[in-house]
Amino acid sequence: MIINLSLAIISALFLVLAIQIETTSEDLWGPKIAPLFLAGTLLILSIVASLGPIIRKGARETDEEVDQENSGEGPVPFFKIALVLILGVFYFFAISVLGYLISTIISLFLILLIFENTNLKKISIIALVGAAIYYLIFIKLLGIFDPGFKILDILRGN
Amino acid sequence: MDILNGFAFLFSSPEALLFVVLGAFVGVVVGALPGLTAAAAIAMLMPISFHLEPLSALAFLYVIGKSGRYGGSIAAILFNTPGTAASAATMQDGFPMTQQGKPKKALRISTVSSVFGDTAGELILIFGAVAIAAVTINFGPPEFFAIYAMAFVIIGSVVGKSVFRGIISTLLGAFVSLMGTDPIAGISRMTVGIYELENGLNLVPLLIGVFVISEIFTRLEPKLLNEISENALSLSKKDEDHFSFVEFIRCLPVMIRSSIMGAFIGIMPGLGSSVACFVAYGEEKRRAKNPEEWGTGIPEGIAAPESANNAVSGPSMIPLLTLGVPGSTIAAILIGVFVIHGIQVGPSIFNNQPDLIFGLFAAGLLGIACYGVIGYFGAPMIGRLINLVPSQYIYPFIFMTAFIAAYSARQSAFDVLIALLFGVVGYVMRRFDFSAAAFVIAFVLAKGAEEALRQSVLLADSGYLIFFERPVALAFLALGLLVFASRIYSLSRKKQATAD
Repeated sequence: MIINLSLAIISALFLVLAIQIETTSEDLWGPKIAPLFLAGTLLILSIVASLGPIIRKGARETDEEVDQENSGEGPVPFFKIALVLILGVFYFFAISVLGYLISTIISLFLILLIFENTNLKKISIIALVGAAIYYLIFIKLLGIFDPGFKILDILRGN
Repeated sequence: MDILNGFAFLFSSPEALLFVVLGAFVGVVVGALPGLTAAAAIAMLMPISFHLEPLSALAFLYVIGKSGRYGGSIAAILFNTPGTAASAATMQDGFPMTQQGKPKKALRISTVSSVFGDTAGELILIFGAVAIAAVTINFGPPEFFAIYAMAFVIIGSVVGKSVFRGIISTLLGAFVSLMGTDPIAGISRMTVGIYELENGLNLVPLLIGVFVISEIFTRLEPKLLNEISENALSLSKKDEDHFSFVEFIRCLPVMIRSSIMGAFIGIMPGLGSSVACFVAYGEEKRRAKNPEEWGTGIPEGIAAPESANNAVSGPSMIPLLTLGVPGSTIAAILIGVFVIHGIQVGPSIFNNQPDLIFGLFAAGLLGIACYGVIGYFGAPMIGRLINLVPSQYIYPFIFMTAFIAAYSARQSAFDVLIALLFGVVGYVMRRFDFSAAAFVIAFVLAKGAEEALRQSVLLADSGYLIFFERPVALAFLALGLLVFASRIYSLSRKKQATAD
């Protein structure tokens, strides 16, 4: 039920986006036709799925609904997922401020902690060695752009 | 013989040869890691391939796809945890054989069957694709749109457990792919003011999010954190019982039948290795004189699913190479590599890039031989190594690799955020049994489908009725509806049988 309602809301947003697509007088439907069809179909299907249990109110849940609501096993590790997402956003900003190597060392150390590795000495060494390997492969070997260590420039106001 | 030219082209490039061997090794190891699929490995390593020559890049990822399917059987046999969904049926007899103290024998049956099935599939690809391409080269936009539409309907209805959720996944994947500048009118669409979306969503971070980061989230679930170490059996036991020649001859008809079944399933868009392995296992068990022994650790119970799931690999490339329509997740990813290297995929590829395409086929055959050797002699050791390193150490590195890969594809920090966002999307899809494969395939197909639709209408005098005036287009649309209807019918019968 919750997932179907969420889908209906997302589909409605998609439909609004599709309606807002600008078209020219020569081609009124061209750029709109596929997004409108997809968003409209999504909305109809998700509304039908959301209303299904309400229409059959009083009746016991069907196997399909039970299956749908109970999909996935065990509790969702919301806290850890949130930590990983925060770490991801941190890495996103850290790369441009601290550079590739330092931000990778910190992020690798933190993700090892999130995965319940408690031996700090061991994971510090793993993070250092791992980040060095990543640096060698991606920056030195493949030539990926490294924004560099800019924190000093930022602190100096440059 | 074009394939001999392909071998000559492949052997003229030491870099390509090196990446074939490397791909075979990486695929086996990643496939053996529970939860990580060949598609995830390819998604992570795709940015590296941008720095390579086209043949090296394609051969590397194509061979990872092949060896990754095989690698899944290592975890299934040794840890009772399928490395990939394609090896789930292998557990039925593979793990009981390990429990009997014959892990090496089980692994060797799996290796021989995989090599047999994969080689059969590759030969079907080599000889079948050229013949089909000779016909499809005459197709125009209406036929192509009909094929896309058929693929959407088939993938949406057969990939997942539920038709409803499969169709929703397909629609979602198709919709998000249309964000960005419209390819025909040049109008900016649905970018919500984000400049980075002007060129649309990039495939690499989306794949990394859906396949890799969502798997990381899944691995954070308490029951999975220590999975391997809990399930692992002692591999140090002496295992003198080898896969004998007599047993091989006994398994040969099973391998032949299962390979044909796998190859046929591989050609159908959306039906992949995970379907093939169960179909072959079920069919061989039904045919067997000793069905009661299946599930207790018999060689045929390993040979059937492993031949079938690997036979899917080659034929699943046929829709991609003959129609430009990827029929599987790996083919959908490979289309991105073709595009990055400026190669137009479709039936004309056999005329325009014969060296490259037959070189790729040759790389496939060489890759099969490589993973066969690695698996035959090294699978127990790979299993032992995976068992030695706890998943708490493996998955943080996979997370970092995924992150760096997402960044390095276009050296864009925005792509890192996209990977995270689609990691959440992928995790929600997993929890509620939506189909990530259908989502990704639809994402890749949608732009081509939209272009074919609009070109058809622009070219026709009769507007949208053009699809009903072209018999081939009509046949493809009818086939799609037929598959959809039969899937609904079979599901309703299954539900009724369960209720009774």
